[in-house]
Amino acid sequence: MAQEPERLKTVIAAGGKNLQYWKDLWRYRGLAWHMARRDFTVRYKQTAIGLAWSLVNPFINMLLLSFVFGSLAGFGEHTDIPYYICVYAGILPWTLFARSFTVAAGTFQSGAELMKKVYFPRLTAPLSSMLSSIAETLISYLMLFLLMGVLRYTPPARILLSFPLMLPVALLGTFLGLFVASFSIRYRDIVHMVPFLMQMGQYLSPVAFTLEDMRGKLGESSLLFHILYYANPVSGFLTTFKWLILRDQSFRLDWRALAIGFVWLAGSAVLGILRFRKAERTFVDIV
Amino acid sequence: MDQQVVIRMEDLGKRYRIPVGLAGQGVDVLTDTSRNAFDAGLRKLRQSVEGRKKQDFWALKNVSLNIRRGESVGIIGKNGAGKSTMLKLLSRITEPTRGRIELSGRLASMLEVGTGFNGELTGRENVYLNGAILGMGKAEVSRKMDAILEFSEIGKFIDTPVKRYSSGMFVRLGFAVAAHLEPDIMIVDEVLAVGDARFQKKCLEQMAHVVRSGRTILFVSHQMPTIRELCSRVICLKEGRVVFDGETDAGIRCYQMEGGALENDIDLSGKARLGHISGALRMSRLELLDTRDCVYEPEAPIVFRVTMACLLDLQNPTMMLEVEGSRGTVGLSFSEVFAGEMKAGESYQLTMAFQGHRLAPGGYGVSVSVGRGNAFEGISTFDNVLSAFSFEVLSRKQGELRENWKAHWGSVHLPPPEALNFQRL
Repeated sequence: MAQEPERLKTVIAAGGKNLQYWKDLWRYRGLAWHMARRDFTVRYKQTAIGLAWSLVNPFINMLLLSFVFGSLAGFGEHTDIPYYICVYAGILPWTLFARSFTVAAGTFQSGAELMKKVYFPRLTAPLSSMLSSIAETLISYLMLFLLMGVLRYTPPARILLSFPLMLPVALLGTFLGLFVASFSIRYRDIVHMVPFLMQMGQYLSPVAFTLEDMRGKLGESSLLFHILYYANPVSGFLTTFKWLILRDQSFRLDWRALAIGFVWLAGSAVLGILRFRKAERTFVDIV
Repeated sequence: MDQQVVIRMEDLGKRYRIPVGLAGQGVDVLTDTSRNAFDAGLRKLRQSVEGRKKQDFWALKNVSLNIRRGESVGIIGKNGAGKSTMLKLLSRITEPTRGRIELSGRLASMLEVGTGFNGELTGRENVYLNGAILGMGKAEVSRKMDAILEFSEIGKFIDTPVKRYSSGMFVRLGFAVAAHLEPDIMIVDEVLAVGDARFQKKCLEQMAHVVRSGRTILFVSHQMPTIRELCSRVICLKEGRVVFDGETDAGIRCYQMEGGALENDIDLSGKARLGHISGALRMSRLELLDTRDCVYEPEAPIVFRVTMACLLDLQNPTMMLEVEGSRGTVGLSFSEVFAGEMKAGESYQLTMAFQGHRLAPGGYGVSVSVGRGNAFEGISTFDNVLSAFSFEVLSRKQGELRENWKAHWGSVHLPPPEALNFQRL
């Protein structure tokens, strides 16, 4: 048999090989695509307004945050940009982050049925969910443009850069979620904590306010500001996102915050993937 | 030419850790009142932090196997024998604790038909998704869509969400996708037990077609007729180990004997007694010596030892044995006076051997009774245990006649008649 076709060699051994895993992940990219499409399609089946939910949800959220931070707390009075747009520019990346985080953290719960029966590199699942989250965010952009039209606001050209910035935001959420997911196998408690955590995060991250606002309110050297600035993984990306969308002379790109965001991204990538890889090997035995 | 090995398992083992003392915990939960639920929660938290005591349980151990291209192998064994664990390891759902598996070629498992189907998606969408789960590309699925549609008999419902399907339709579609995947190695787990008789037949034909086309199939099933029809080789598992690996019929017999629990150390005291027994003596234990799995090569002596307690003084008791084939057909009876005197209150051990028994390969059950007298003068039975022990005669030697012994050839392998004279008239 000279023309023996080249056969895929698979070695399954205790401990497992990493290189093969990444090859598999690439081989299963089609599955990631299908799963993302499934997530996306299924979410709006049998709903009256379908995709419009991707517009309505952030819109209502925006109204709520504008009321709390704008009307009650008095943020956003020092700028001539409509406050609604300021808030929406924060909600866009925040929602992407929160959704990526939530689905990644719940990977082992939502995918358990499937994972108990067939093999695929388990990272395929959170990565595909991330893709569908990005798609959803793209739809949410429509609401941003709609708001801009209604409120007669012209964004700067650099807004285009906010599209590629979605990727690190989604990745950061996913990696942090993976880290959490690895613990959720043994401690389901974490599953209950995630929505709560995300709700808190929405108020403690620069979504409805900017880091500049807080620098002014809390003072540059205060502990709270340092926590907000360094210890909140999303702060840097959220601030940058807002800078890309908002035309404001007083508001400059905070390179340091962005760099800190990427440090968080790199750290969470390493920790998240390592933990997740360790957990996925035998999670079927525990669930 | 030696066929290429497509699955190579080396010293494969899978260990599970099972927490011990779970029963106690159950009681905890029951006695918890809302008042001390908090305490219980704390205790649980502490337990989970400190870690409960764990016990090792090897679901699969020391398994080394080679499976060659084009073989169709049945994997059988009682529940808990390790079949599912083996499949899970092969299909990479979980990792082995020890050892390794080398696979060559694409492997697809049908651990459950319709795995990954989403009720909200239409049949067609699910076919693509399912194909992707099983490792098929989009183009490949598109190419096979017509064949899948035809096989599944879903027809115009293909664009209906599968949650509106009947369970039969669901299964048919699932099977159709998997059956048309054409992997190099296919793992099939009990899927043929679904659908109506006609569809089952169709599935069987499709499987047979897959076998003929030179692919490797691993079947897990409790349905021996299916195994017999499709498999050329059978691997029988027991308690995580391979107890048989070879020809189908012999493997199935091995499995069927498993039903009678092939133990080599049997406690007789609790076993039911049948008929009128005087109770002058009671058998308590029976051991099969020189064997672990109660499987003997043909003509290897079957040695066993009976322990009995004597309750009345007895003289010249007789041991009576009845050997039955696994199908309950053939009966062989033996009786043997074994001792002079037995004193009340003493215990005795009797060791006996079937030498040169000429039993054909197969499974046998033996009833044991002790009494006095014989078939001519009448028997009074002291003690009597039906199917006290079972054993199997099995040749593991390649190419031997008895390795391929068919059950309908009979239960005794006598020397063939000799041709004394042959001449032209």
